[in-house]
Amino acid sequence: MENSTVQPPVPSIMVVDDTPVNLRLLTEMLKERGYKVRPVANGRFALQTAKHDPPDLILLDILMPEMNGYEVCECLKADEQLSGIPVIFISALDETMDKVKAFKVGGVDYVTKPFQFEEVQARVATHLELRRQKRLIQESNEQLRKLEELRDNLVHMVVHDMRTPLTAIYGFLRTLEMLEGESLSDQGREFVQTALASTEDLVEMVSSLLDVSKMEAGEMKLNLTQCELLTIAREALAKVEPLKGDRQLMLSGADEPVTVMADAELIARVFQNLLGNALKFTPDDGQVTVSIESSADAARVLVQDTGPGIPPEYRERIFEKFGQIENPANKQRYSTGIGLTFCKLAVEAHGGQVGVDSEEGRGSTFWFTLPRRASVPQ
Amino acid sequence: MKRILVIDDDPPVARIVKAALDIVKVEHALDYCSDGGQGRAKAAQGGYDLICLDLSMPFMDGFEALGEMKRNPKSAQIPVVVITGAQEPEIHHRVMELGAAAVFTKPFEPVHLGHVLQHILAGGQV
Repeated sequence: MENSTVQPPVPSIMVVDDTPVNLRLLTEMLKERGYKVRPVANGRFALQTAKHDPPDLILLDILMPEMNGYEVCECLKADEQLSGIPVIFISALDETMDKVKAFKVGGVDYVTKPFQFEEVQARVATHLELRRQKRLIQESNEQLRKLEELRDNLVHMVVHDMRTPLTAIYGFLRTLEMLEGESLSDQGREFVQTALASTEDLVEMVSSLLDVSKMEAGEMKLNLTQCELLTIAREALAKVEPLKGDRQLMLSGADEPVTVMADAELIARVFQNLLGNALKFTPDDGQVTVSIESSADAARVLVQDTGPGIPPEYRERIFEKFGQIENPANKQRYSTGIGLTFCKLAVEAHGGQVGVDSEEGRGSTFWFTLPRRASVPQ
Repeated sequence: MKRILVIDDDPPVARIVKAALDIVKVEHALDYCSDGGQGRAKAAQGGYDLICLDLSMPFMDGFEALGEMKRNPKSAQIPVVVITGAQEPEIHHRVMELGAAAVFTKPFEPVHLGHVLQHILAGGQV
C-alpha cells in the first residue's frame, strides 16, 4: 500500500535546544529509556532535518537566537508533511500567556524548566501513544473509504450488466403475453403477469441503485413540471396491482386534484417503491391504503399498511443504503435494499421530507411531503 | 417489406425487436450482427430501412459505429434507433447529437418500441 505508515520499532524524538547542557541531558536520558534521539542546537537546522527525516515527536525549546521555538512550530504546522508531528514545548518561560501561545501555534503540551525528567518522559510517552492511535484511525478510515468506493464501483458494474439479461426476460415475457396470451390458460397468464411484475421490480431496483449513486454525488438533475399527485398515485396503484394477491389496495379520500412542482418520473417511482414495500410486508388478509393530504404550501402522501410494524430503533436505519434489520423471532438479518434510500434521496432532492410512523403489531405508515413550489436544495 | 439491421452483442435483443415489429404488424426481414465494426460495414452495403444499435459492444462500440455510419454517404440516410443499457440522460443526449432517430433504455416495452419503429419507417420523426 502507498503511504504505508508502519511505526518504526523505536520511536524517534528530536530535541531542539540552544543550551548545550540541556540538550545533552535530555538526549542522554531519553536514550536511556530506549528512544532514538536526535539532538539539534537551533531552529533552522531542526526544520531542515525534520523535513529530511520526520521524527515521531519534537521537544522544542522556546528562547533560542535567530529563530525561536514558536516560529519553528508555526513552520512545522504549515508544512503538510510535518504538521502531524506532536510538539512538546520545554521552556523556562512560565507565564500563562507563554503557555497559551505555545498551544496556539500548535504545540500539544508544555513543560517548564527546570524540569523533572520523569514528567518529561511521561508526557513524551503519552503523546507518542496518542500519535500512534491517531495514525491507526486515519489508516482504517482511509481503508474504509477505499472499500466503500470499491463496493460502489462493483455495484455499478453488476447493475449495468444486469440490464442485458433483464432485457431478454422482460421483452420475451411481454411478447409472450401480447402475442400468445390468448392461447394460455388463466393460470398461465397469471404466471406470466406475476413474473413480469417481479421483473419490473428488478428493473426498478437497477434504476434506483444507479440513481442513488447519482443523487449521493449530487449529479441528479430534476425535470420539474406541474404534476398531479392523484393521477400519479392511480398509475402507481395500477402498476403494483399484479403484486397485491388477496390484499386490499385502496386510494382513500381522493377527489380534489393535488398539484405540485416535481419530477413526475421520480415521484412515480417513489410511489411504486412505497407501495411495493407496503405490499411485501402486509399479510394476505391485510390492506394498503394511499391517501394524499394537501395544505397551502405542501402536499403530504401517506402509504399505510397493516403489516407487522417497525421497531423504533429501525425507523431511521431502513432508509439507509443496504441497512440491515434483524428479525428477533428467527435471528435472521434482512437487507432493506435500496428502494427506501431512493425514496429518501428523491424526496429530499425536491426539498421534501420522508419518514415512517409505526406501531408494532399494527402496521406502518410511510409518508413523504413535497413543497407545492419546489425549493430545490443546492 | 422493410429491411432491418440489429447490431447488439446480446442476440435475444434482435429476436425481441422482431417480435415488437410483429406486434405492430410491420412486415420485415431482419439481419443481425454482434459488433459495431461489422454492423457499420453491413450498413454501408445499403438496402436497410432502419438500424437498431446497441452502445456497449466489444471491438467497436455504438458511438463509434453511429458516427461512422452517419459520415458514410452510403449509410448516412438510414434512421438509427439506439437501444442501450445506459439510463444516463447525458448519454441519450450525446447519441441524439450524433444523429440517432430515437433512444430506448433496456429493458424496453416491446409494444412501445414497435410503434416508434413503425412511425420512423413511415418517414416520421420522434
